[in-house]
Amino acid sequence: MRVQKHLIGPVLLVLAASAAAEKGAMPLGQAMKASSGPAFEVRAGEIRTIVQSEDAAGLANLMASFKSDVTIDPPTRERVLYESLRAAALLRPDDRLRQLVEGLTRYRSETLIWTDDHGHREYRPLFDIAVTARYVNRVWSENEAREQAARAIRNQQPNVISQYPTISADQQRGVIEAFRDAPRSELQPYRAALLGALADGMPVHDLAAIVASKTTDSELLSGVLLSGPAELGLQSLRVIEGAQWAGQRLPLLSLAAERPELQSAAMLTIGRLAATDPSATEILFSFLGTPAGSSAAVALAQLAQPDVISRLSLILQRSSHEQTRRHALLGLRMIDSPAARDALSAFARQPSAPAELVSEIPAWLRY
Amino acid sequence: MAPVLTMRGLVLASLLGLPVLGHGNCVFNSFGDIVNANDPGCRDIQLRYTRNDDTGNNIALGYDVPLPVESLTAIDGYRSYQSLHAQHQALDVLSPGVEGIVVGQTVAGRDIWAYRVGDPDSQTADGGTEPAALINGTIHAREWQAPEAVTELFEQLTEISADGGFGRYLYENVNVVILPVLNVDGFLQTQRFPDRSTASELQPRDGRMRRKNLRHSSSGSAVDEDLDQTADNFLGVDLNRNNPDGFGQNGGSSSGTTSIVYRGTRPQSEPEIAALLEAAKLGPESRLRLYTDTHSFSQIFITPITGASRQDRITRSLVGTMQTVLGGKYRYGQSTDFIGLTSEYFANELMIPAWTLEIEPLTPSVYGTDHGHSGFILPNAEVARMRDEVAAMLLAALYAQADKPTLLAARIRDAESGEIRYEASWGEAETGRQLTVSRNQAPMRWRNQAGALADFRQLAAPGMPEIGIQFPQLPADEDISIPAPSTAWKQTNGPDGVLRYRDDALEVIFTVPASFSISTPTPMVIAVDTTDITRSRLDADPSTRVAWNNRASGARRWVQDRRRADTANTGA
Repeated sequence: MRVQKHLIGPVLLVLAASAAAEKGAMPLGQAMKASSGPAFEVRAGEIRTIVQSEDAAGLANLMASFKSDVTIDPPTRERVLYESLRAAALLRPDDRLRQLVEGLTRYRSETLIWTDDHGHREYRPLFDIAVTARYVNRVWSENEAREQAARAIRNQQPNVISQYPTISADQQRGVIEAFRDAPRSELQPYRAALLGALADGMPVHDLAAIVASKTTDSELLSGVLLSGPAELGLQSLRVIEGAQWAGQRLPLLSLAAERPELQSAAMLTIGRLAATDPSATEILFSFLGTPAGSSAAVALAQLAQPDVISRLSLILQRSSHEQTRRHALLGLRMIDSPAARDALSAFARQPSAPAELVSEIPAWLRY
Repeated sequence: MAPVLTMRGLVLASLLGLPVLGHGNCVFNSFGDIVNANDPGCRDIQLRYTRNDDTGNNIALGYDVPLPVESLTAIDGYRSYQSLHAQHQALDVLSPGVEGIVVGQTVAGRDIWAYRVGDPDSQTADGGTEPAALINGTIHAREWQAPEAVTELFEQLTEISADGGFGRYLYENVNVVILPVLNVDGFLQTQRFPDRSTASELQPRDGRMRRKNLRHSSSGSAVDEDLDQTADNFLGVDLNRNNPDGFGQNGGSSSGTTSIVYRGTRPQSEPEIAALLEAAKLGPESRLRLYTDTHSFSQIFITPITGASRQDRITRSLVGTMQTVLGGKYRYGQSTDFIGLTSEYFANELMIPAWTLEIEPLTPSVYGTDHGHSGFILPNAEVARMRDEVAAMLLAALYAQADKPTLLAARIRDAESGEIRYEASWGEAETGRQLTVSRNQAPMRWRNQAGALADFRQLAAPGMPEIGIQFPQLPADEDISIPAPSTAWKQTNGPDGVLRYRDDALEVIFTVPASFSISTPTPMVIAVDTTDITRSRLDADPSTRVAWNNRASGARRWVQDRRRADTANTGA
């Protein structure tokens, strides 16, 4: 019974919220019409002028007047506030503008629209003022951190690395952007601090990846690939494909292939390099009997080279290792060429070929 | 004529690089559709998604714009179509019980693949007719959550198929047909332009925000895939409005070829829908017990209400089970005025539980700015969790639809002598099952990775079964009620072990009354009351078997009658 009781609350709340939303909601066209017209155009013009002059105080005054302007209806007011907020994101805020935007993070939009494209009717604000205000706060936080970090980097302050794990996610984004903006010469001195921080288990991988990328530093990038967030590791694999990494690419990709989260992407990256680098092909074959073998097989298939087809065919026929054989079968299956089809066909005709391996081959040959 | 709105006077600001709602001169009607698709001021607007840049025609999401990644295995983010397809093919080649079938071609001639997952026979482990389920993904191109979630289900089904318990049970007792990417052309178009779209921030259309297939309404062939060639960017058919039940009805679709919900020229006109119907045949159709069409976003199950009350009750119960798996995170909704959805087709025509599953987020503002239909772009960081959650809900549905839990066997062993005193089981018979006194089965409990009995996510683990033993010829106070500590679910094979799956057999230790005589035949009644993982109670009559073959004829008649009434009412 406890579970049922638990569910009644949210369901009733959703129903209540839907009923309230339904009451005042409009179709998109009508809502946009209601939010447009001369009253909006005049105020949009004022916003544009203020932004061009980078006048945060002026924008704060405008927003305050918009908030309390009883001569405009809610749809127009909310559209004006929405455009004001987007403009505010471009400015360096003063205290008053900050306060106004902070206040708007709790604003409940009155102009609601419905959408039917989900197959059922959903209601949402035409202009989500609160969400946009929170976005502006994040942008400001990021911009300020970016400026501070840029100064710190120019002055070669060492604490930019040690402080990074302690600041907010928005501020971290600012520091990341500052590192992206900085010239290679200003980042090089941070190498030792980054290596030390990585060795100590500090989460500074984002910064290490940027410095590694800008300075083509394989040791630093190794640290990112080995212990960084998987998403960053995947981004770093794309970086390695750049020409400046030639000579260091395959060892780094082999290293990445040791991590299950990066294994498949590393194999496919090695596959792209294999078009011009025979040693990459050998690496793929060497992984064929491992859990990364399916990705290695697909990477080999993308090469579609006669020699690759012959070797896969040979492995399929002769290997005593079940997993390796299946990966070779997958490789041939993924090559759309007469030679690969012939190889599959020949294998299927072999009396000694295991039934579970050949059962689908006739269907594949028809496709 | 529908009221229209012109949005002139904003392009100048856009050119200045100032923040402004990026919609050029697009005009919307009361239906919410763009009505001036041929106006260059609307048609040629190119939008770009960014993390934080909201100037000009940029649309800030508030998080990194997800890009498709080349990786067969699941990542923190989205895989490319090529990688997803390669993964599906790998699962086919590497996993027993998977069969990949080309079920049709897209408008542009690309193959559409479906995968049948489960043991190759068409029978359940105890000889019954095996049920089937159809899981459809990516009918709407921009809804990238769908192929990831459906692929996760595919991956998990193959990973657990030999676990001896829950996974093995599904493998042997349900034929799961998975169609991971139906709208292949559209999906590729979204991945070709992962950070670009066109027309209006209020209704972005092609590129990352393409929804429809690539049908060119005039030529019949595919539109070009170049975003900068804008003349045909609005064209395509909404595949989830191209189905017979409710086609062109109830205001849910449009006959305008540039509409976001253009339904096509006739029901099931599109080759992608033909492919979906082919996939259903792999069940085969007559054995389907479940259809899910996987979409995003808004975190809700939309279930067609067919009016066949028994079917509707089953559907509601099943959706309720899936909701409980995630503690009520997903909402429940009903569609009563049909508009040509695939779920409406399957619910009405095949008489099976069917729904449109809209994956998270609940609203576009949950993770970002709510700009430019950002709800369709779930951040990379949320994808792995989303995949697991949706797969868990679907696994629960498959388990619940596989069969009704049934008491199938009993054995009483004398603890002192070790001798079997009684043994009986229900086995396959011509009609249902019959009891054979001498000597199958669903795992009744979920275990976590440590092997301990556990909740299935937020679907709380049932308590121990209630067991009562009565002796009708003895005084009532001799009846035995078995306390929970005296029972244990079996996990291993062997004498008095599992019947077929881990946790499908319960060991109960009890002491017969002193007045009970082993030498004299004495009637004994064993009453067991329990529920399985998805809270389905034991079937009261093991001799009957759950059947779902060839639809429910009564319900079918009801739908046909109602259609006649609808036709009469509309005069069509």
